[in-house]
Amino acid sequence: MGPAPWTETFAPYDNKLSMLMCPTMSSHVLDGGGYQAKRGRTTYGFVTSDTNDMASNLVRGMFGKMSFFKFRDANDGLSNTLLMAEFILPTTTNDLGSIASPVAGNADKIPANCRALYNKATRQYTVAVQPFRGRNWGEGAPTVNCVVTAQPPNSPSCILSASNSSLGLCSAGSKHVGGAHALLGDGGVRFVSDNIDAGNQAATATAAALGIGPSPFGVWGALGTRQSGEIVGEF
Amino acid sequence: MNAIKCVLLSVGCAVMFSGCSTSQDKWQKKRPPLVKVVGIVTFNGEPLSKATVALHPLGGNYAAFGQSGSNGRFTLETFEPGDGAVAGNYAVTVTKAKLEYEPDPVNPDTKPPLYQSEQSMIPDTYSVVATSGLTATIPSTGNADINLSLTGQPGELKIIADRRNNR
Repeated sequence: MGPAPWTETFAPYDNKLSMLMCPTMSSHVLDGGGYQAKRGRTTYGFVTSDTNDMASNLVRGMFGKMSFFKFRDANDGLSNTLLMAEFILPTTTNDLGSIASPVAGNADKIPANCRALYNKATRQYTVAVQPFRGRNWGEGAPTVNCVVTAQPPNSPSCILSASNSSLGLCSAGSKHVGGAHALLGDGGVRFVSDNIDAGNQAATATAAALGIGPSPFGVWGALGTRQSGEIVGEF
Repeated sequence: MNAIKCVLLSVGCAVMFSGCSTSQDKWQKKRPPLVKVVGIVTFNGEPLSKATVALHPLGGNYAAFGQSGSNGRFTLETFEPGDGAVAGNYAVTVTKAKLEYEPDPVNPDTKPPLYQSEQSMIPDTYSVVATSGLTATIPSTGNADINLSLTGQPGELKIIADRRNNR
């Protein structure tokens, strides 16, 4: 099985696995240098939920820290619950594939506050960013291999501290124009539009704020939860 | 014969143009109408730059947000940059914080970092709906111009992590 994924001297984690890289992802991935820079990448993330929590006792989605769920735990229905989604990696300085961090002012919890830190016209973040996304396919850290469905696909990502294990809002995304692919619990793969209803983007995306209640983040948020009881309808 | 050609040509054009006008996907078609909204945010009378303004819907479904420029002016977005807000009543929050960050010198990826702090540059109360006291009403007709006049003292320094003494 090998050592912990952050063991930099363990060469197998450096392998580039083409199976885990979407063919549309640029070959020029920005590594930012430093820690784990030469690790093999992935562009497929596990959907933790519609909140930035994965370490809490209340995991609203299908994947969380030190926990596991079975298909029977997806009470919203396997056809209405996401398992995985694509995301993008940084290819140029400050681009959408980066993660804004460290951030202040609840940008790691409130989608609107996170989205305000990215300028869609210049396609640049206006704050400091980190290159953690997809960096090391063996890594389970939330910023590296997870997707939060609080913000629609191809939105910016924001985490509290500049560490890959810090919590925040890490968005789905892809280089396919207009959306991203997502894997449902029933095995179906759907192309989800960037324009999918994502509800109230000023709601607080934490397990503490949402409890076991329905997602405030529209159809996309509802797809990220496994047992919050939303009626998802056609999507 | 010419008449038939003409009809075919017209049908062809109609199909072409309808094709062009349906560039919206099903989600965009379901969106509510929006009103353009601009505004200015000031703190103790001075324009507040790089502040995040969020409109939290009171009863509605969609929030709007924006970031102020150097002159304190902002343009709100609900779905796309600058598209505005849904008409209705909102609670408004404003956030602007100063951040200090010092990564672990051995491994910058370590959490928590050596030091991280955050200090609101405006009263903390403005960042939360329950205490902000700011509201906005977006009319269904015409454009809206919001004036947010904040007053008071910067918030307290909040230490998020500090391991500098046990180095």
